[in-house]
Amino acid sequence: MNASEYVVETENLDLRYGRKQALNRLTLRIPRGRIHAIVGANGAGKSSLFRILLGFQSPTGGRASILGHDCARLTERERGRIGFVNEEHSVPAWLRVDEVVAMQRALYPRWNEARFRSVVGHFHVLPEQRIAELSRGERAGVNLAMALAQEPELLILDEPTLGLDVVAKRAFLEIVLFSVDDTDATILYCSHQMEEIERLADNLILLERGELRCMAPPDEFCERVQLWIAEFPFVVPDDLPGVLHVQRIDGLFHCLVLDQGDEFGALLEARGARRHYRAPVNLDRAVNAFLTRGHAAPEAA
Amino acid sequence: MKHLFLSEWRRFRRYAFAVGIAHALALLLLSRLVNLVQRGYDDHAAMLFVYMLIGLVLALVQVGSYRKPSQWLWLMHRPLSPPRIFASLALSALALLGVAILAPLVVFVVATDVFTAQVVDARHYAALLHVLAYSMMAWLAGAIACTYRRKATIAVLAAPLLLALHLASVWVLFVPVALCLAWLGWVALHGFRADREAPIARADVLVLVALPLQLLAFVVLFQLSKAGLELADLLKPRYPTKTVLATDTDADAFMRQFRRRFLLDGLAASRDPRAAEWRDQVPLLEVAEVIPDLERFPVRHQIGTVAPPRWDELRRIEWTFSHDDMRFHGRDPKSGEDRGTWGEGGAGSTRPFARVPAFEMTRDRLYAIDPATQREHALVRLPAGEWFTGRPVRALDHLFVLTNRRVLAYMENRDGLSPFAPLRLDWQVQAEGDSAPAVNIAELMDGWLVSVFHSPSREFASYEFLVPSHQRMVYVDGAGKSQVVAERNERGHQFAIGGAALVPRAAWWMSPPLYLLARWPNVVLDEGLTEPVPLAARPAVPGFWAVAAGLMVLSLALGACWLRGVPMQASRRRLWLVLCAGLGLPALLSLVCLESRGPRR
Repeated sequence: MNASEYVVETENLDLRYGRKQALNRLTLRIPRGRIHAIVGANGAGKSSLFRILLGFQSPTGGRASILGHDCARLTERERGRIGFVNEEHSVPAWLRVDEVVAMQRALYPRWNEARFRSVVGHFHVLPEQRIAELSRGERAGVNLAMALAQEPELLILDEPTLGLDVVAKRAFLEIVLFSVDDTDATILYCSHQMEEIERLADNLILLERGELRCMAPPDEFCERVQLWIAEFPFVVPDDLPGVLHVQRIDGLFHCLVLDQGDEFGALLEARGARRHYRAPVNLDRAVNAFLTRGHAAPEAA
Repeated sequence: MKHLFLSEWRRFRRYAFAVGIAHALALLLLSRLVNLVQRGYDDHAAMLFVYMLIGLVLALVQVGSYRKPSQWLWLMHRPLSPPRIFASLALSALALLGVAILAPLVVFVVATDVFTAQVVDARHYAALLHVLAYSMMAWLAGAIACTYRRKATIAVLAAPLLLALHLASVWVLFVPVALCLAWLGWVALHGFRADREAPIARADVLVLVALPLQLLAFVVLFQLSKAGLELADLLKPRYPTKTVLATDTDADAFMRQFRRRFLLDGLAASRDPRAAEWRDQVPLLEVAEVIPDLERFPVRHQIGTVAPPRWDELRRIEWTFSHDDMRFHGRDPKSGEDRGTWGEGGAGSTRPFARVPAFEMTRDRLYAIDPATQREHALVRLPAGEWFTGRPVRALDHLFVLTNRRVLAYMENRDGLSPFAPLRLDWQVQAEGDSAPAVNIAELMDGWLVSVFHSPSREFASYEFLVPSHQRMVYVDGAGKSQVVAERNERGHQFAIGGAALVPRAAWWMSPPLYLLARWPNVVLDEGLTEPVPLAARPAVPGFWAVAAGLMVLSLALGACWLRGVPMQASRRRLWLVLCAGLGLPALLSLVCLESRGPRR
């Protein structure tokens, strides 16, 4: 793939906050087009990565580029090609909806009024309403509508559905799905909601403690994680390979394992399992198991 | 850009109008109590402080609201260059401050000018632009503190306060004010960047941010050193001014005795054969004193009013001087009626004064007013290059006048024919020296004994022990011929008249370059000072060379220690080390305040 076809490229990207390593030699290439979900536990470095990509944070080491441009030297022209929606939906609360829209319309030469109207129409927002009077969902809708109307080449959505009710969230996701089919925009989507990721993402990027752990389509990742249910007389042997998580339910041990084939069943038998069988896992469970393994926990006394 | 400007305008316009209305009401109320336009510069300085506070608060609320990362991202991530984003916010702030501060002031001054007999000069209108400029500078300082990663950057406000806030002509001051406004604007502009946590990259911006902090540190450190010396002096068991005087009568008696003692001390070293005789006479004589108590004369179009209006109690007229036509304008404060003008010739005269008068004198002319005819007579006219340094004193049947060059003794007119005719000079003594002298005069049996005392108190307050005072005893015979009969130097003599200079010569040792920079405006701006401030690039005390060099080396060493292991560009490190070596401790303090040590290598 040609280098220009990547919307985001990082190489050995390092970021430290004092003694804390937020990003650790992160090398990442995100291809142009479709929806890419970035997933990770709290403190995995997702927001730090976005701040570096948008030029709001200087990395401690390495380099990063976005749409082929050095992130530290983004001009207003490049910024006009990148949309950003965050969880707080920061829009001036003192303005009316039509005033905010007028400001954005004047700023973005490729402003698509029809798209704005079609998106904002899902949220029953009136132009004369003040932003401060809007509900969180309505504010999210206005924000997303403005971001999409800018016709960005790259749209970064940082936990945009946080705090939205079911209806608003559904409307939001439908618009994102629709827009990616309707435009050429590449969407970077960051969320902790796995059902959203499962529904939206074409590509899954898993970050853990500032490092890239996995980059693959969600289905592919799900296939790598398997659930093996086995009956052991006492406890599960602690030397089984690839175990992410073990849980005992009704006397049966539920083992989530990574990158193990059919021979894992034979291994269970060899280690004393009386019976066992394999079951598929959904993305939520697979990602949870994957992240739980590396999640911070208090040190044992 | 226009929309962002409008957005910020809409955000604060209601508050701006509310503050503007409250401001107008406050001005209206105050104008009922006092002549607000003609208040002294100290009152106007207090008002300016309030206006600057409004500018600062606006910046902290407006720009401070964008400190949150998500809000900063909303502001800066848009297809608009950072300079234009900054310009939008700055222009909106200017418009808001215009509504809240400038508009009520303009309405008030215009209304005073048009509808009352109070004097309103062009300088008052020009001063309004200065008010707006200073409140805008306060906004810029607040914006800088909000956008740079170190709050200490708010010290940039020290630059205009030290370099531009002087009692000079309102027109001349436009130059330093414009320069300071551009300085702060340049620094604030570079704070508007996406990554505000990144260190200041450009060397010129770093220097412009650091320099005001260094100036402030320079002044504060020096004043602390003075306070330390004064505290140490107070703790001594014997302190020159520890004499406790319970009543005014005690104080007068003490001062009379003190002056006689001073003359006797001056004569102690005299080898003149007549000195013993004078020493016998002095305890019996009345001693007159003329001190350099005039710190400054008004300057035409001065930004602040130095001299209060004249008050004619008999006719109930307040005479206010107009810098535009250089005449007094009379007004009945009760009815507000116009009561005519007062030129150099007196009431009704249209002849303008050559200089702005104060206390019935100008810089080079002493007047007397005939209360019956309201004529103004010039009693003394000084030649070019000479000016008064103290108020004239009538004593010993003479009028004693102190100038920057001489002590003049004029005979009082006793013929009764022309009490306001120019006075006849009886004798004079040269009084040139490093500082304006204090003069004590006693009339002997056969002449006059004059003590001319030069004290370094203004330039070396609290550091008097380093620089000797000089007393010269002069005998003036009956023919007016003067002869020096004794001289002595004395260390540690504390003789304070008026306030000490903010950046005196004694501050040289702290940082010679910052001393020169901070003192430079006092030298180039005409503030009407009776004791002009010399730039004095070389120290008055030879030991200061060693102290200043030692502090520079110490700052360089401590700066190098501070920067050791800190990840930083080599050029930036070199710049800081050069600043520490060249500017001394203030530069070291600015380094500590502005640079983050971060994770060490």
